[in-house]
Amino acid sequence: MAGAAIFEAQFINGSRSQGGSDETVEVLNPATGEPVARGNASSEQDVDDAVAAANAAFGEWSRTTPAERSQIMHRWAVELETIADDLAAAETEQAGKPIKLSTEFDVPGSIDNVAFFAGAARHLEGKATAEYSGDHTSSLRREPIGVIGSIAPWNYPLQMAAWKILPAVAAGNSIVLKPAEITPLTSLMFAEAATRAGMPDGVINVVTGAGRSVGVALTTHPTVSMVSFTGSTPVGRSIAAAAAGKRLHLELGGKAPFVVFDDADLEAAANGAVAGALINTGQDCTAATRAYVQRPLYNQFVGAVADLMATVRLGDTRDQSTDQGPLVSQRQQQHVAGFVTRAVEDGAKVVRGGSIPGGPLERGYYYEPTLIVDAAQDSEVVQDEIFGPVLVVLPFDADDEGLALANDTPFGLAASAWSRDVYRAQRASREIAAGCVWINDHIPIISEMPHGGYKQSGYGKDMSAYSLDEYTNVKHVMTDITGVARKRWQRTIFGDRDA
Amino acid sequence: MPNTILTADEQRKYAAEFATTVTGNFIDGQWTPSSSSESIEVFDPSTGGLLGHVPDSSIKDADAAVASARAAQRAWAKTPPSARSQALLAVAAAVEANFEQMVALECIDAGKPVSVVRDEELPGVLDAMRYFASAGRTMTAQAGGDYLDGITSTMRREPLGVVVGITPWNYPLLQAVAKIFPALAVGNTVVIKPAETTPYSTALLVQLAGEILPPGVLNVVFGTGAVAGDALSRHPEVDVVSFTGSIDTGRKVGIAAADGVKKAVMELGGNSPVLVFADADLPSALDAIAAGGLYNTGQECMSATRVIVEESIFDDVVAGLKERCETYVVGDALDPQTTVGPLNSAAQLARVTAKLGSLPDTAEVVLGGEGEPNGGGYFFPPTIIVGADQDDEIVAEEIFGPVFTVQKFTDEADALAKANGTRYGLASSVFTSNVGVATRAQNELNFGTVWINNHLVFGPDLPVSGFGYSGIGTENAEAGFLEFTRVKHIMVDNRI
Repeated sequence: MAGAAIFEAQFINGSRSQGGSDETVEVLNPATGEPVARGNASSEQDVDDAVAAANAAFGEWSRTTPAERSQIMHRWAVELETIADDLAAAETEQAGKPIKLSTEFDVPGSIDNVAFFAGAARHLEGKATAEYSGDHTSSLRREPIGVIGSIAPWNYPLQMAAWKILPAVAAGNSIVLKPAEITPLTSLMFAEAATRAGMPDGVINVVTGAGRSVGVALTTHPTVSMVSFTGSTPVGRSIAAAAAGKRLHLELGGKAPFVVFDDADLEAAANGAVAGALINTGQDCTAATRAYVQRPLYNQFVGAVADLMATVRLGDTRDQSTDQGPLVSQRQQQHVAGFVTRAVEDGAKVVRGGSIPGGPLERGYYYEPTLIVDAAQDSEVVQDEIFGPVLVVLPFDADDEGLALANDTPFGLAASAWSRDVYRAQRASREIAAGCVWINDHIPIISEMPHGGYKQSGYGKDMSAYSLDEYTNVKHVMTDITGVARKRWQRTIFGDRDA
Repeated sequence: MPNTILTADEQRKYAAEFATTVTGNFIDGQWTPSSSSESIEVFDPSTGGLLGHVPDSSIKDADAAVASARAAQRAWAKTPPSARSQALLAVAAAVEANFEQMVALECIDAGKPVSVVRDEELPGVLDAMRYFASAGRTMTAQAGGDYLDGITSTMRREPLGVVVGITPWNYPLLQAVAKIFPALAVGNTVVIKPAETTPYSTALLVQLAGEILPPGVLNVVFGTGAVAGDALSRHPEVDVVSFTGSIDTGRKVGIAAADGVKKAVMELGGNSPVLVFADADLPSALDAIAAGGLYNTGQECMSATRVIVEESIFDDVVAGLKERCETYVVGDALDPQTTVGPLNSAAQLARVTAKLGSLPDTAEVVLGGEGEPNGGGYFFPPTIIVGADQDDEIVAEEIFGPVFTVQKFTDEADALAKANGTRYGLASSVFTSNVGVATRAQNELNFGTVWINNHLVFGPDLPVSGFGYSGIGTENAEAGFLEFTRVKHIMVDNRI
């Protein structure tokens, strides 16, 4: 994929095509700023076509057995294995991920998601059939919803495509996915691999373009029954308003606290904070962003984190030795730099990093691993999502205070607590309001377990069997077994009159 | 996707060669000679010819297999469910790559029609493998929370430990998979003992799996129920015995398991009633009943065997069933035209023959009724008996052959009473176009499976439970793989 290849930015009804819009979709390599691929964005007509294809495919797909869907998905996982290296290379090139991360995390994680959903969709949860009323047999059906319109972000393009597409199609829905316009390549490869594995045309469609045009067209489309969005909280809010009346699944921003109690293993906590803050250059909605450290460990912790950050290698994303890649775009780089600048203006202190590296990295969108202290709890750098390699460390005294600070946020996606003490660990897991609480670790996710937010971080779960609940409707079938013409309950209307 | 299709001659040649390679038990990742000098002869039921020998394993062999499974268990249980799933999916891929070899062994060993195994049974087995592979990834448990004041509870679901699977001869490979795969997927290790007459598809399965799974995770011990089966069932290091077979043997396995205070999951015999109401769509009902009774030459514990018909359509049902039975082709399992293969063994032929030989005076044989010795094979034709009563042995006891009894009922209550008038409780069916009858019947029928307007269709994602004398517990589906787990409750005091 060297040079600015012309690419077809959409996948509709089983084939790739050029978008019909005049707007250009340009994929840049964030490590170099050089163009990777250029094509036309999808038009409103393309969105219509994609939704129509999904709608046409829905009937038959929704009637396939879980076994049939599972078989296709298992073949899909095998297909993806065969292109794993290409997927990793494309992900690195479009999103600026170090190749280590793409190869060891994004791609195998996504393939495992496929295998997981191939199996999980074969026994969905339901309550038992019985004669609850005495006069009827009540049974439950779990049914797909219809056409799903999904919008995915640019931070984990392949994984987010997987999280959106897999539970939807495994449960018998069809889908139109809009990846972020700057990172569409692996979503398209993912969908094409499904087709090679036998996925019927139209079940999975991909359109590409800006949120304000293509995203709006998709999320407001009358044939789309459910909208699933992963991205920022402000955009999530506007999508929820635009899609009112449709079923919604929102995975929004985060501002994960990282609470270090005074009995914690300091080395483990420092490693966890640096890795948890810098993974994917901090462009991770569960990234460790706010470390609250109990006073006795505070200075040591700040020192250890600063020292560790100094060892993190920025560099060519294709290089196995690169630990941290660039931010995804120049816009994101400016966004992060702005946060740090304003934090300093507000009185915070940069212990390490805090600038855009020069030299050969300058043409890319790199930003140094950054450690900030002395920020106020109510300041922007502590309260708002930065989505960059920036960790703020704040001290606390009593346990109560640490947990209160952790919860002092509009977000609630993920959090971690660091302690050797079982009581503290239990208390943190109980009291922190977030969809995931790690104890003595931060970041790992797994297909079997749900990912999703509390509070302004959204609602609905990704991954795990819980995500299948999101993409299904529950139908109660109540069948009379009395065979009588006038039912007992009809007394409320007919009184004692005979039938 | 089948590999190169083998002709009947090539199939027999392959099976004979493969049989010579099975000289011991598969223990701790390798073929291991038996400590017993005795062996068991294995025959081809289509010809009566000798196919090969397997060890008549000793108690010592059983001990070695259990020790190997025990030694491997903790490490296997600590392997993440996703990695176990990946390994089991790789075993499925290896079986798929040896599709025709597996077809050959299963058809020759069990006497199954080759076209049925190729088109339905082996694809179904592969689907079951892939379904069960992910069992460890979706296990449900009660949600954790603070149920008691100041105490946090979480529920773990853990493997039981070492599973012994004892499989029957009617579905040797499918049953081996139905025990091995869910047990392994949730983190147990397994010792499997196939039926004496049908060891070879299981042998190939463990051999292929042995290339993929760690040593000791899956072991096979050949032998008799009386020696190897008994030793495995009562072994103190075994945590659960999963048995599929007859009620009589099940009772022995249950007693042995009780002796070792271990759980026993039992899928035993059946004697399925088939209720046909006058308002049923008769042509489709008859198609389903004929297929449901003759599949696998009636050697099927859910077989559509006790047909109970509303009086007004009795003659039509008998005539229609006879007509359909006559379209089935009895013959050599390897002949692609065959739809009804031989019975599995000389002993089974003798049992079915004896049951047909002791019919009550009131009974009338409408079709078939006698064995058809043909080139030494154990053939028995589709058979229809009318005039037998509820208490006659031919109605009351499982036949396990291609035999239908057809009785009459007067009304819905009589139909349900006759259907339920049995100690068996595995499967049943109702043919009617009346939704009220169909819905009431699903509650009233005392069987683990109730089909409405069909019979015998099932899949690995659907539970099979034997009520009454038909067994204990559930096989297949989530309820089935949870049988191989235990629930552990963790309570953490929060000092508040």
